[in-house]
Amino acid sequence: MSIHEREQKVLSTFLNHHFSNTTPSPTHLHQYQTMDHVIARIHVSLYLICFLLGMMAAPLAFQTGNDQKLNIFWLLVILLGAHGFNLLFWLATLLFFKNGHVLSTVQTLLIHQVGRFLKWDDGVMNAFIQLRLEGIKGFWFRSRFTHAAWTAYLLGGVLSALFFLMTHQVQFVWQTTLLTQQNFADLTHFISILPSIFGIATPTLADIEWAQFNHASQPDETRQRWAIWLLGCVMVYGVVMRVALWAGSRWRYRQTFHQSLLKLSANTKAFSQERTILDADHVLLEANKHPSYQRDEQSNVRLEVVNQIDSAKHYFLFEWSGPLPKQINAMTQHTFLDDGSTQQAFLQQPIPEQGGSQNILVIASASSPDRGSLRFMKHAVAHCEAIWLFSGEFTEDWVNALLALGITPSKVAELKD
Amino acid sequence: MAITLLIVGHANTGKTSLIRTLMRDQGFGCVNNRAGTTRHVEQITLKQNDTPVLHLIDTPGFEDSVGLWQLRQQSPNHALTTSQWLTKVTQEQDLPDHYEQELKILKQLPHCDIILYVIDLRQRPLGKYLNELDLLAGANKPIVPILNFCSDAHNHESAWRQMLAERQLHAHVRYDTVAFYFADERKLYQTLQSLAPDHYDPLQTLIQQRQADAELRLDKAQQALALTLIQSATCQIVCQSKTPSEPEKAAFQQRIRTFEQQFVQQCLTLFQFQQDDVVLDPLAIKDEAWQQDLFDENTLKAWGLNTTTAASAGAAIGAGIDLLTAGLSLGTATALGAMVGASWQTGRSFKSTLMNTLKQRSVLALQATTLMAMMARGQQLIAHLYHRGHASQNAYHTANSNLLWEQATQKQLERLFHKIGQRSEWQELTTLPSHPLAMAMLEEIQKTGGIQKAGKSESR
Repeated sequence: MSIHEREQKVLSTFLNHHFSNTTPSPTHLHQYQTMDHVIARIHVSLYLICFLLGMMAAPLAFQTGNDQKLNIFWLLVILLGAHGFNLLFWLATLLFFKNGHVLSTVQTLLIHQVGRFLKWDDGVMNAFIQLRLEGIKGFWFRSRFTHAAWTAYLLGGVLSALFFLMTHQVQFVWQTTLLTQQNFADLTHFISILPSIFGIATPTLADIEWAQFNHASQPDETRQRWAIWLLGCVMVYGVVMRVALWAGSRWRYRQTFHQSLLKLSANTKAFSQERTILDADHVLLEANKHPSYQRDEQSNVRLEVVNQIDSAKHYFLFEWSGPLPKQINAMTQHTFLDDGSTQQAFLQQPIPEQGGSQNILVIASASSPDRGSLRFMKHAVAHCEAIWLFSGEFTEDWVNALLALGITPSKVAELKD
Repeated sequence: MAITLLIVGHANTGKTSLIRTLMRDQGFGCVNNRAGTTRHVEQITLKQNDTPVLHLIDTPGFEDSVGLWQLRQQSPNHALTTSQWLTKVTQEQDLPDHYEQELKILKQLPHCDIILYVIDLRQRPLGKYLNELDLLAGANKPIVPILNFCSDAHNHESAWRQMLAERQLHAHVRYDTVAFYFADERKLYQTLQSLAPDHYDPLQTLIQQRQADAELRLDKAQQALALTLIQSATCQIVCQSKTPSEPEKAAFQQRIRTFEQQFVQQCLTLFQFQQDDVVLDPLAIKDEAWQQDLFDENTLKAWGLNTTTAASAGAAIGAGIDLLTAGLSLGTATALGAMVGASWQTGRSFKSTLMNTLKQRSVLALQATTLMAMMARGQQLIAHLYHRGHASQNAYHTANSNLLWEQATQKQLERLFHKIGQRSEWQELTTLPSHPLAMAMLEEIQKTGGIQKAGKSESR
């Protein structure tokens, strides 16, 4: 599913919820899409304004006196200072205030102002803010805009400065009271590290000497080198840096947007089910009619309650999982009938009438009777004196089932703990 | 192609319940404590974005596996391997009518990829279960034992583990269809991945989606609770006189209860449960007259914040212009923007408080202790629903809970509720505001809720 399709799906759920589960109208969907276009156009307009401001600001920075001398490093500060300050501010928000409430609140307010001006529904605006701008996505959205705006501004400034330098003759100087020529040489070389990677020539020691404030007019080559170096620094430390940050912010915005859509669309029932009957339940065969499901006069039988047990008898505990009844303990003879072989052995015992031992079969009626247990009971009843039901949830079911097998009520009793 | 899992087991071990929990669907099948509830074979296919991911086949339970195994041992069947015998009975269908349900199970064995054998841990490893495993082994398919009811205090887990180990069935999965933990479900799918490597990717996507679902539901539920608490904390009724009348009190209490009911309903919808699953016991509401403290630092700060926010909206544009012109406009635009923004907000805030004071009217609002009780109830409800299996049949009661927080936490919450209570304009909110106080509320709920997200290892 593409990002666009996923967004459409999540948006529908959002709007469904906001408009109280009625189908959102095409107007709402259109407003959402339009909001995207409007914001994009606002951004482009602002970029244009920034470009023009940059074009206007640069010549102001290049204003010289009658001597047509420009202070190189001061010029650099003017051209890149605000940009550098803004960059530090952005880094600080990246590190500490990514989910900054003030900036996010401002952004939300602006979106709402635009939406109200264009008479859009609150639900659509809230959906747009939550899907596109909330949380970390909002930070990268703002970053993307900021870096693009600065790129436009700096580009405007560079172009304007280039045009200015093509049509004016200036001299580039440096002056100081506290520092030395060597300091400026070191500074120039340090600043030139990155621009030199792009092929921009570093001013030589001679150029630095020519640029000293109280020097006479400079050779053309020196002025050219300084001019190219200056413009190169603004390009590298300004434009290129901002372009890189813009590209990074754009990528991160898309990533976080996609991740949040995935998370949001998890609640839009990405799962569906389909059911098929593979083998239907047919009319119940007689053999399989569960005796315990028969509800007739048998259920009114009152069971004898066992109060005392006879330790001379042998107690057979049928498929027993719970704790032993208190009366049946280590002192009484008891055997577990847990599997086919022990059950088969029980069925092979002589019946009581033929001198077999007096067996009592004890059933834990916490478990529901099933066909297997009832099949066994049908045969087992002949080999025991009585069947006791140890109190549980399914006592009545067991009583019904045993009586339906033809077992006389007098043979069935209830054992309470 | 989707993986097919055959769910088998003795009657009443929780096969249908397992499917309900895996599918998050209370409506599937019929669940009853009696044996023989499911009598047909039904396949449920889970689709993700319309692509089948999983086929689960629900079967009737084995009821007479002892008899069936004895039949298998009789002549002439004893000469056949179990596998050959299974093929014979399913093709010729010559089992006695008594084993009609068992035959339905056996007929599905060739059509599955993996057999999930559901075990009720409340039962000992009796002979009938071992016979079932012997029969299923003849299908020559991987068998994954599912240990159900593992949360029950009196279970026979160690005996079962020993028995399963003796049969080389080491890849079993603990699961409780009533008390649900996502970690168990993840382990089940991971076990399936190791047994069916061809289906690794779709199962991996399924695990991730389920995990994301679980975390999102929890987040949404906690946000809903935060909003409910904010609505309740800021809910005020202006009384006609200095003493609230009984109808006014009743109306106020009803409003608060309505907020809570809406929250419960939201949670039920989020976690895909029904109305019957939760019983909302009456909330003990304590209220008192509320007075907006004109000299309260937070009140003033709130208005200051309001003012600043409005100012910064205007100032942002001014500041933007300033930065871009490298300060050449000397901050003029910034100052102008701030002034325009600030004056708008200040007048709005004081008006209602002053009017009520002048007209000698009291205002009903909730005490912090009631709000903390609501918060505790809400957190416990969320925790319960987060771990409630869709096979659970007992309703949960939201009884008034004892606060289990330390004194320091309670004091902190009290301060937070007091601050939030000053924001009377938040009464009508329908979504959680992205304001520091609201975020602080959400953070407290997450911190004191005691729920570990699905992505982290959960403890029972």
